Amino acid sequence: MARWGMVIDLEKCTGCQTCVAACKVTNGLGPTIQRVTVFEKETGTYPAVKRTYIPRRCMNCREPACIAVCPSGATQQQKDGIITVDKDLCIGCRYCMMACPYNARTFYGVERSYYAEPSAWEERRYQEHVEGVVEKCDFCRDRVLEGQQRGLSPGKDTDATPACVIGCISSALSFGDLDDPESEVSQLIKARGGFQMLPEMETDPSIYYLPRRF
Amino acid sequence: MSSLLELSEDRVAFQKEWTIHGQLGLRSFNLEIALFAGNIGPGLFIISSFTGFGLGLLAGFLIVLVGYGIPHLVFLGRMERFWRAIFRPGKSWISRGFIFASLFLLFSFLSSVHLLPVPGFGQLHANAGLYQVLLVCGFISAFLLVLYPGFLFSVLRAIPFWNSPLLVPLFVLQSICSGISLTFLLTAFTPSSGIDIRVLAAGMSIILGVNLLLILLHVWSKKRSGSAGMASFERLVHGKYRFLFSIGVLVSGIILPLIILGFMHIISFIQQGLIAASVLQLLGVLAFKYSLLNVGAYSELYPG
Repeated sequence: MARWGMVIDLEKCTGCQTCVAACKVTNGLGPTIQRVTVFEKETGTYPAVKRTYIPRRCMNCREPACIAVCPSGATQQQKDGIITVDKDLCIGCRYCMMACPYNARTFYGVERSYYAEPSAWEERRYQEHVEGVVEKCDFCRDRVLEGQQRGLSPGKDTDATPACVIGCISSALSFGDLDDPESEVSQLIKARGGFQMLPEMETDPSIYYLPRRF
Repeated sequence: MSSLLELSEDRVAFQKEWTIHGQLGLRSFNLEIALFAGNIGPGLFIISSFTGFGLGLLAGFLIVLVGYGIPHLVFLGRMERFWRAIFRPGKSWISRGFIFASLFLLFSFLSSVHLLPVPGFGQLHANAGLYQVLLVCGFISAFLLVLYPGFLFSVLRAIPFWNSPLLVPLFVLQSICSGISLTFLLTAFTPSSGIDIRVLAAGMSIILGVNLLLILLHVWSKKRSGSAGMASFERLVHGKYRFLFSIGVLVSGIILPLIILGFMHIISFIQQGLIAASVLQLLGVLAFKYSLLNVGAYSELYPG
């Protein structure tokens, strides 16, 4: 069984937020919620200032902190390593949000439309969600599974790859099997010295970041 | 100092979902109330079970039922599924807390129901052996309920300000102290309770002193626990919550009650003094819970 993971190249990321938009459209998310966030980090002092864009989503950790604290068993780890939230089991206590070191979970409260009147698309897509439960990035698991069933390769074929990876304009995102040493993600981590965020939390995230070289 | 504050607050994210700033807005304020009521209610029950103060047992039950149970239900995103919280006591502190609260409500109700005009429950009080068993079970469940929030917060490594073993004894001492305060307030209206006020006041003074030390130790230790701990410290001591912390938690909640109790030990105990010290102490506990929730910050994602 593969362990799906992502590599984010901090050198290539331009902070354009296309991954955020792709995620919102694919998952039918309204204005109050987003599963992907892009942070800006400015370092150095003028004139030697450097700005880095840091996309963040659920790290789908191998040793997740969120599963242990969930009182209802709604948060589960699938065989492919992806962490999912069963929206029919979640009670909305949000303890998992407090336990996640990456602050990568969101609460689906009362959704509203982008404009005064909800569009037909919004009315239809918002029905896919359950109000009052926690949501998170699951690497577009349904899309990946469907693609696999059709014989496609996640990370290589568009229809079996997370929407944010497909949407990225600068190819800063890569998706694939972390347990396969020949996969693109494993090769990138090895070649560029990929690192995980907050390793001291001992959660072993499935997202690796490639450092900026200059 | 302001530049340091801006820097530290800019680099980390403060948790919002357990405060009124979260998605559910005012509905989330219930958690702050619940945290307060879940601390003072069991404390009152513990003190009352020692002093044999029946009204305190009943009040402890009612405070937890109305101030803790109902606000927690309202806080949940899907309150109709609250019963699912019981399923993982081996792993989740929320599950444990749910069990502790249920046990406390059961035993505190059975221990105090004879004070209510409910037919058929008088037998429980009439049978001395059975009543003692209920009281002991109530005491144990109250103590577990007092311990629970301290562990709930302290196991969270994601939020360094909460990730401290000091929170457990701090919550326990605040609970006992609040139980004494509520006893003072209740006995003001029931003078024939036979409770030794002097002993309780002396105990309260000692606990307040230890509480002060624990709070200062906890807050100052976080100053050196990374950027998130530093941001929480700055927000609490120099930032948005500085008045709530300094005036509400320290001055109102600890120092003034200590001064009032100290004067009364030297001169004489007067009802008004006890009421003032008790109200101030309870306000201090509420201010502490509120500020604790609001200064919790996540670790900085990308320190480099």
